[in-house]
Amino acid sequence: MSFLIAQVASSTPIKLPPIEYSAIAPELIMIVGAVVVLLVSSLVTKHLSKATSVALGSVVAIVSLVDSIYLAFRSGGQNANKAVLAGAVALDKFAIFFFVLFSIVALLTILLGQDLMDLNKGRIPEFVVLVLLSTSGAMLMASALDLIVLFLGLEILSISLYVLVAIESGSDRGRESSIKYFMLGGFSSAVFLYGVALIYGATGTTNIGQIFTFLANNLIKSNGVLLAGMGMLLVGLGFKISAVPFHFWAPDVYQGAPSPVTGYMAATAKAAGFAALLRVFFSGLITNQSDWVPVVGTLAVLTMLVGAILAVVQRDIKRTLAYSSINQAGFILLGLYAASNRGIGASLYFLITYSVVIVGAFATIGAMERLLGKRGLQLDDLRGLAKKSPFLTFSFVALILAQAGAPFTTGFLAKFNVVLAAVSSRHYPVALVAMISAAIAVFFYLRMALLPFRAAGSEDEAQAGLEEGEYGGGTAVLVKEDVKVKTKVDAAAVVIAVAVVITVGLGIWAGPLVSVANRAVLLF
Amino acid sequence: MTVPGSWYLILSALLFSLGALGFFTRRNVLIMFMSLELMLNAVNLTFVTFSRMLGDIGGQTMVFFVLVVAAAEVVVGLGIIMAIFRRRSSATADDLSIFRG
Repeated sequence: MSFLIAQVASSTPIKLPPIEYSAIAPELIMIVGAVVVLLVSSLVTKHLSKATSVALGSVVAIVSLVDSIYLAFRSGGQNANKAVLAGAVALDKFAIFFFVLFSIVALLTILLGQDLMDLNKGRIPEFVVLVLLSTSGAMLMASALDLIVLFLGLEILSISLYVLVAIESGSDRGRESSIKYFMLGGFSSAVFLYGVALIYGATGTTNIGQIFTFLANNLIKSNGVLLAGMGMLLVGLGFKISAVPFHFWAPDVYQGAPSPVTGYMAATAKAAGFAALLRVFFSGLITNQSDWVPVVGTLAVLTMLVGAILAVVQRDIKRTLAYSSINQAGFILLGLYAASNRGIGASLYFLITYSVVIVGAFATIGAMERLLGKRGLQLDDLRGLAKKSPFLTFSFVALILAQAGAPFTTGFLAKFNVVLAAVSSRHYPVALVAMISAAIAVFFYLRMALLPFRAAGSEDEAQAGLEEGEYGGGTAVLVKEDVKVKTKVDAAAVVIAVAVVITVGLGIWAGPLVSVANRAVLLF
Repeated sequence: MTVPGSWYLILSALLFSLGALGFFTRRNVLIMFMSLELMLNAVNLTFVTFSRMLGDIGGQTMVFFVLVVAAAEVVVGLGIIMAIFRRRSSATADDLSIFRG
């Protein structure tokens, strides 16, 4: 026994890697904040108003945002790109760019919690907690330098999202969406993980930096294990970014989830998936780009075309926007397909502008659902909106036109840049397909943007209403609703306004954001 | 008799394919869920085999991460399945048909 103790005492102590907490501070703030909100809300159940939990969550998101911006300025100097936590996490401009993006999206979404409040009771603290937790997972995905850390971030993000989709109490639609998302999300995670295992087998490491070094020193061409691993990583992440042919869950889930959650998912889950995709393929597997670039190109073409064509035939607004967001994912893939710094910069610019637009668009739809007092809005429900709410109409039209890529919005430069990147990498056919799909997409975007200015209801309905003497009553109810919406200090309106201001403002004054995105491509 | 590592790799590839096949062909949500777990365990076997073949302990530690994540997924997944099928008699994927198009 004493021999054992002597042995233990004499042996050299295990060296632990230094942990730089400041590098993972945004994630830590999110997690600690989530635990605090959860504790406070369960300890003071009766007295914690929903507004308080929304305020607490907003404060956490703002602190995280401020810390991310601080990191950005502090790392502007020499040691901008470095690996911390034993090489498992990167603190580079790419990661910090996504920290800022995710913090902004989380803040906007939590403010929309107020919007959810009218639809169901008592779930607001959970909503705030889950948004904070899933954001921490997304941040971890963006900064992960090890495939296993990436997987952990992916799961933290996904598992929180499965619950968020079903957050609406007593909603069969939410639950059905949730289980579909869960099943396909679990499947894609398993495929992703098998890809990680195969890459590990082929290169002997899961660290993205070491994978790059290994592949740079050992020329591995047409190795079955490595190719299968790369393919499975692409499939697994393809599900997350809803690239065609792995998109079929997206319309159902987008349609069934509450509108603020849909906007959050469409922004954060997609941006996190793209962060992982860009880092793994552009940073780790760039030496084997002749293997994956054609595949990514095919995915981009399919995603752009199928998204645009299927969006044209939809009747439900959220479903239309789901296909539109699939179409947008194709454009972002185009930046990766270009496989150049210019392409990645274009993708990053697209991602940050698209995230703000999509959160704003779904916030607008949530506000419309409240205004009209029903869920599952069809395109025809947009008719006559211009008279009922000029503010919502203006915001909706601006955000839809931004997705279409209209000039004077951020959407124009986003689409222009990715196509330009594809052209400058000499991918002319794919750039042509991108422009065709953008033209198809303009058709349904314009239809959506013009509908609010049409007369409310079809003529037959109006006639029938007049004959039965119910038309007056109908308008009276609508007017009352309108007044109610206007008199309340509306967090949703603030979120929508912020999204519109950012989209139009940075669309006109585009320089700074473009240069920020272009500088964020410097990967570790 | 020594068993070459590639046999384990082939076994885990078969298990993974079996899981994927089960996931797409079975209609009962619980069986689909079990197929998912089979896929994850096939991945674990792959990790351990490669770890052994490469003489690197990293692959075996990854199995722990995968196990923990799988457990967390089970908790959330069964919760969602309970919530959706509490009011229905069977747990088949064919009942999930609100959304069309």
